[in-house]
Amino acid sequence: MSRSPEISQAIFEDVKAVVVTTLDIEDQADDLGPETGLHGNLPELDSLTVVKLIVALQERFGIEIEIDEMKGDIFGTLGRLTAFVESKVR
Amino acid sequence: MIIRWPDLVARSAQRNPCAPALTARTTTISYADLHERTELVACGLRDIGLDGGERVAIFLDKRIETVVALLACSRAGGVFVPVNPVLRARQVRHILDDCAVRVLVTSTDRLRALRAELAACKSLSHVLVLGDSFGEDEEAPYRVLPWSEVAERSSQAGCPPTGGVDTDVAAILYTSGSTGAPKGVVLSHRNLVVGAESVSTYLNNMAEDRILAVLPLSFDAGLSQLTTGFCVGAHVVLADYLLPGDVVRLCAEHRITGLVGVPPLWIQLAAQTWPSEAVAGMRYFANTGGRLPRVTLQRLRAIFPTAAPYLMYGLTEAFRSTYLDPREVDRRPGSIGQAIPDAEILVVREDGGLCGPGEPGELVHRGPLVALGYWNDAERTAERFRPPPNRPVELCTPELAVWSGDVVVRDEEGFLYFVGRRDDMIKTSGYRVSPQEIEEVVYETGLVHDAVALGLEDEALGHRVVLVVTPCDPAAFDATAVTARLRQELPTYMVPAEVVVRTALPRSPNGKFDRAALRHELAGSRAQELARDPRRRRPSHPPASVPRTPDTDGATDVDRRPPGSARPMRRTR
Repeated sequence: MSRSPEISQAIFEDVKAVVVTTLDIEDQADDLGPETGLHGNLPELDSLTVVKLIVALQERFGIEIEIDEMKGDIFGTLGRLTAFVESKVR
Repeated sequence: MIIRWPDLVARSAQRNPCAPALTARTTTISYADLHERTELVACGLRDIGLDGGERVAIFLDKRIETVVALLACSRAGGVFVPVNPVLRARQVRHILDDCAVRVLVTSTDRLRALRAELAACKSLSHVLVLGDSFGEDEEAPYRVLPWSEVAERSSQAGCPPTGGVDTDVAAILYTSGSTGAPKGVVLSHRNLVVGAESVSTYLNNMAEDRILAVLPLSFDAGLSQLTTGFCVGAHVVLADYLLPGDVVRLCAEHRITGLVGVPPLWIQLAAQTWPSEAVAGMRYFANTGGRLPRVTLQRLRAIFPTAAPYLMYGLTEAFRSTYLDPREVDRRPGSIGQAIPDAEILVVREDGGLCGPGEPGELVHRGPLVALGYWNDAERTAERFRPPPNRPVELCTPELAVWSGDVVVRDEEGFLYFVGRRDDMIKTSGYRVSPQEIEEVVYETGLVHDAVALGLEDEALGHRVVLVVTPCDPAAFDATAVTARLRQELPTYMVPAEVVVRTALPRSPNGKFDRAALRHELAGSRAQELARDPRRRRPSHPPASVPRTPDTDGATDVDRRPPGSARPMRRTR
C-alpha cells in the first residue's frame, strides 16, 4: 500500500467525521486512520453511498466536486480522500 | 474431461500457459500461474484440516486472491461461499451460521469490523487474512492465519486428486433481499461447468476476449463472468467500481471486448461519455437481472455500434436460463429470447398445463443447470424445486425443475417475454399490470434516471400504483409532467396515483432495484400517515372469520391487508 501524501490533521479529522456519519460507521471511528482502506475494504462504501459521501463533503467543505474528477484511487484510503479534499479547499 | 470447475483453468493452462488469465488493478497473472496458485492454496487448505464438503466463505473485494480462494476451495473438495463484499457484519454472520462455515477468507480491515459478530460463530475454525498486519485475538475461538501461510508454505507441491463426481456441491450463493433472511442456493460443479460452456457458446467467447467482470462474484451472473472466461481461456479483468466513470476508464485501459451488467448500471453507463478507445474493442454487451429500458438499449447501441447486444435472463436457482440472439433485437427488443443451450424453458399455467402462444404463465426451467436446492431449507426448496409438468409417466425416478415465480409469455415463434415477477405484479382495478410496462414509458419521458412502479395495497383498487423516481434534473422536476405523459400513453388504470421523488433508489447487494424494500418502506410511511390522522384510518382488522396470521408476520402487514384477503403478501427474493 502506498503511503498517503502529507495531509493536515485538522482536515483529516473533518473528513473522517463526514465519512463516519455518512456511512453510519460510528462504531468503527476509533479504528480509522489515514491508511485505512475505503473502497474495497469498507462494505458500507458502495456505488450508492459514494454519491451521498460526495454530496456531504461538498456541503461540509463548501467545495465543488465534478464527477469527472473522481478518478482512480481517491477513495482508496482515508488519507488519499483527505488529500483530495485538501487540494480543493486551497 | 472437465468434471469440476477448476478443471476449466487447468485445461486453459495446458493449452496456453502464458496467456493472461486474470487482472486485478495493476497485477496480471497467466493461466499457468493461476493454476499453480490454485494448487498451492488447495494444499494449504487441506493442511489446515479442510475436509471434503466443508464450507469456505470468501468475504473480499475482487482481487487475484479472491478468485484463487474460490478455485482452491473447490480443488480441495470444499464448498465455496462467496459473500457479497458490500454486506454488513450481521448479514455476513447470518451466512456463516446458516451454512456452518469452517474457514473464512477476508482482509485485515474487514476482520476488524467482523470480530464482534464472529465471536459466537461456532463452526468457524480458521480465518485467513490478507493484509499487512493483523493482531491475533487471544480470546477468539478460531485461529487467524495470514493468507501467505496457506498460499506459500504448503507441505506438498501438488494437491492430491479429490475424486468425486460433477454432481457434488461446489458452491452456495446467497440470494439477496432486504426482507426475509437470504437463502443459500446450492450449486453443483455440473451447474457451473454446463453454465460456463452454455454461456460462452452463445456469447461466442474466445481466447482473445477481454472480459470486464464488474458484477459481484457472489451473484450467479457475476460468477459466470469468471467461468465463461476461464472456459475459453479468455482474459478476465476484475473490477470493483464506485462511479460509472471507473467502468468507462477500465474499458479503455484494457480494451475490453465483453461487458455484462444489470439495468441500474447500464442506465448509468448510457449517460457517460465514452471515448473511442473504450468502445473500439467492444464485441458484445449483455444485460441481465431485469428488463433493460428500451431507451437505454437504444443509447447503448449508439455508444457501441459494432457490439452485439445480448438480452439475458437468469435466476440463481438455475444459474442462467435464456438469452435473445442479438440478430433478433431489432425485431423483438423487449424479448428475453429463448432457452440457452442445454436448458429447456416451459411456460406453465396455474393448473399445471402448458401455456399456448400469447398466454402468460410461470417460467419453469429444466435441465442440468437446475441447482441442488436451498441449503438446509426443505420447505422453500419444495416450493421452488418441483417436477416439471412434461415428465413422461413411464419414468419412475423424480426429476426436479425450477419453478421461477416469474411470469412470462411466449410468442408464436417461440420467443419469451418477461411480464413480471409474480410477487411484483400489480393487481389494480381488476387488471394485472406489469411494473416494467409502466416503467418503460416513464423512461421514455427522459425526465428520470431511475424508475420503479409498485402496487401498494388499497381497499378500493386492490393495488394503487405508486411510481418512485430519481429525476434527471431535481430542481426543475415536475411530477405532473410525467403523469401527463403517462396519461397519453397508458390506460388510466395503469397511471400512477402518486409519484414519489427520491435522490436514490435502494438496490439489492447485486445491484438490482430493491422493489421489496421500497414497497415495505412506502407501505410503512403510509401506515404512519394514517395513524397520525385517525379520520383517514381504514378498518384495520380483517373480519372475524379470517384468522390473523401468527406473530411471525409483521403486524403492519396484517393490519394493512384488505378485509377478506387472507393470503399474506408474498415477498420478492
